[in-house]
Amino acid sequence: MVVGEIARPVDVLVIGGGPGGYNAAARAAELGKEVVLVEDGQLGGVCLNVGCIPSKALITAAEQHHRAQAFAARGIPAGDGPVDLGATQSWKAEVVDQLVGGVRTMLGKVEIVDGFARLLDDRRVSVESADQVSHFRFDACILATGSRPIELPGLEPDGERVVDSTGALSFDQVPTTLAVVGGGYIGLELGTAYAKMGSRVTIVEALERIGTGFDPELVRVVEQRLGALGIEVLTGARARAAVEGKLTVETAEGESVIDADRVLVAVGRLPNTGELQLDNAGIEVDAGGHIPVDEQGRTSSRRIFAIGDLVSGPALAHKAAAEGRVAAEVIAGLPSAADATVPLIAFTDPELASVGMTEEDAREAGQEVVTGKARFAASGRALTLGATEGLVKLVVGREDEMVLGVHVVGPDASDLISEGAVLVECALRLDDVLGTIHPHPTLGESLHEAALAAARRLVR
Amino acid sequence: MVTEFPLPDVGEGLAEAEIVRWLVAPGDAVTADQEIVEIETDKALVGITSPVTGILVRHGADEGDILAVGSLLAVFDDGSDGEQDVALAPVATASGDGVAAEDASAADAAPASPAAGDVAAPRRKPKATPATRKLARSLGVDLTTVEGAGPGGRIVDADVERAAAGDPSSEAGEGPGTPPAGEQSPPAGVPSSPRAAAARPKVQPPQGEDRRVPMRGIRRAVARTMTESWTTVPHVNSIHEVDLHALQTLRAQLKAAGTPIPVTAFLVKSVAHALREYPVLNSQLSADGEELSLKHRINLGVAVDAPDGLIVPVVEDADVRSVHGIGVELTRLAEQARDRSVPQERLRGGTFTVNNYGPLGGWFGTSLIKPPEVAILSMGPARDRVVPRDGEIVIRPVAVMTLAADHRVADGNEIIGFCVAVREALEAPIRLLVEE
Repeated sequence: MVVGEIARPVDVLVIGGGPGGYNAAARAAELGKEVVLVEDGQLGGVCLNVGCIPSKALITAAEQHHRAQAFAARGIPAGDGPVDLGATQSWKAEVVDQLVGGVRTMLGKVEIVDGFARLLDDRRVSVESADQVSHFRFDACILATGSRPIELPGLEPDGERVVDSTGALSFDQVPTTLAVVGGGYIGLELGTAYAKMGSRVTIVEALERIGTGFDPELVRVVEQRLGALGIEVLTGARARAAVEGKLTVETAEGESVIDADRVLVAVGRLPNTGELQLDNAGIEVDAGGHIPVDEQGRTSSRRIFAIGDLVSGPALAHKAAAEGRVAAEVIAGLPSAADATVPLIAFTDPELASVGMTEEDAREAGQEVVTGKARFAASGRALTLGATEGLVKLVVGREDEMVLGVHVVGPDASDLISEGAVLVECALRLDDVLGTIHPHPTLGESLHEAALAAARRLVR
Repeated sequence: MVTEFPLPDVGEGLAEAEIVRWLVAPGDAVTADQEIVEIETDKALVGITSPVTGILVRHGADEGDILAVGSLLAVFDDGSDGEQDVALAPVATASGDGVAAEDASAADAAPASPAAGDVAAPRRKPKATPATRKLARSLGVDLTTVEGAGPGGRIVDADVERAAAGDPSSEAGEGPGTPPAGEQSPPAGVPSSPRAAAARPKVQPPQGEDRRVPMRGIRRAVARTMTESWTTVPHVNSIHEVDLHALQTLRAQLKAAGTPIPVTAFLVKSVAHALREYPVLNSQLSADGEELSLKHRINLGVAVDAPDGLIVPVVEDADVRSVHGIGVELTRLAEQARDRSVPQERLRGGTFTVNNYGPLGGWFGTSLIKPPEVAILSMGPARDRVVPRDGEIVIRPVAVMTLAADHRVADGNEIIGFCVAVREALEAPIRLLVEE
């Protein structure tokens, strides 16, 4: 510590302005705390700037283009000509700008400091900006620095041919051939979007199946669709090197070479803990680089909280936001805990969404369950949307008939899952679903149908 | 799957417990809810039951050990394989390269902190809505120990409230602990509102015949503490007059500037300030009187009126916090006390208690020390009094401040010196605003 330097006191210091950080800051301010939020890049974090939001803009654009062709056969003429990705990118940028502005408004009284924060000890932080270093002394600190894409040796992003998800969201032209390394949700989403815009796409996955984390029965529907879109999926395959428009891939059968003007590497994310200088506050990370916390988000240092991608669990914006609000409430002395189930969603084609236990989870937990399924092929609304692939699957406790899990693959699954989340979170039972009127004709009816199917399989 | 079982919080503000006797040896089979160990808290002998059916792999502590709540009590193997520990997160699941995938699963299989649960991992949750879970947290009720009377075994608000009041009927249905008429639990399927309960007066007048009211919850805890204090602690009281003229002037200015700060915040800060000089009063005496533990943190309990009786939430690290920050927290704690939402953990860890009974009236009063603390300071209302100042007769707002101290621990010079330090701080309060 430099002699004579003065640390400014602040109630709550939030490091990181992504969905976790800005929600934490806004909630703490709402609860009467004086809050400083430190961000060294753009407010909104990965989610708003180079993640959820821009990718959804691109996915929607690609889907519109693709569906226009499908509806040409139904009497609605499709516009001609190739995709103008530059124009799509401008629209995407407008969407992002608008939302970043919205975050600034939402932060209200929170003071936003532009700079890079490092812990000095368990009460103080230094913030380095372009022209100065300032110091803060906090009553409580919330670490929310998020994560970054994992880099594969030999396939480091070069800003041109090999890119991470950020790079793939900024292509100014649709690549002729695209290899996607990683069959998790980011790879599946972007691979599908570019295939719909005209790329020839190959997905390279090291594990034996893609879409891990979701019920395999649901993933099969997505796999069929990938095939219909002409996307080749190589499982049990390792990407080795990208040279001159080709990607070398190693499988059990040997080495092969696939065409790839561009290579997208999307094999997971790593917590951004390296530069926080956690050791100054006595905080250690676990083997996966995550910061261990209790249910309230508190680290081993009692004034310091960590949330979102920094802690274990899926690296998802809604999880970070929920944990951020919990940390703010705990700091303000409210009874709060991050004890809610995190829904998982993927904007694949069709969309995947899941909350609570899968059939497999229940089996491993030794829990007796029945499942109920309803296929969208039998849904009036799905037929009129021209999107009939997929199903809703309910996992229900055999004894108590509680809804333990809801899993959807199909049109608008990402929206449908919120009802499932309420069912699971409130420990509602099959009769609660059956006794709730689901309006006709909607996709939501299928959840009711799945409940009926589960009820038929119970001895009642 | 091998699971670690930490010493659960058995309530009554327990922070640690002594392992009295193990009832199950390592390697023995256990069934869920079978009693495995007896522990002794400062209040009672309690049996702890097994959370799973399986094998008790090892003990986390030996007989005679003192174990903190949350420390490892025992390790169980429930016989299932532990595959669900593998990362479920689609993002955390690395692919494309096997090395990264192995890292991800290793991380999840070995959480460094027992409480660091994977929020996405499926697990058996209590059958309760988020609203009921929040109520349970605010009342310090562990839902895994509550049996639900709601439909399908759902835990409803009324179950949580019964458990919080220590009513055994919450665990065994109707029993000897059935509350008197008028307080019957609602029929199954009719969840009661916590607010309806909060609106009840503390004691309702009996009608027609005498009514027996079991000493439960806060009332019981207060009764035990007061008996212990009165019968074991040799109290000595030191009484001082404080001139609150400067404080009232300063508060009026602060209020005009839009920053109203309650008197209690200044009192808390003054006490914290004086405790730094007199650490002996910021200490805890062991029950046998053999050891004094001088506390490195200054955590001040502040007496607050709540619907069921007096509670003493704790303002942590009062010495390093601003008067304004303390004021904001006190206001919030008072609100939480009113709607019974003060988190359980805020009721523990106090090292000294402050009691501003001024708002209730009276003039001069004494308080009982809250063991194992060794002192309590109380202050009455400010009343205009004629006092001499520099040879002149003036009218000043004066309050009486009383320190009750454990005379085993502190002598007169410390007790009076401390009181003078508090008085001087209160009489020149502007210093409190600028120092840490």
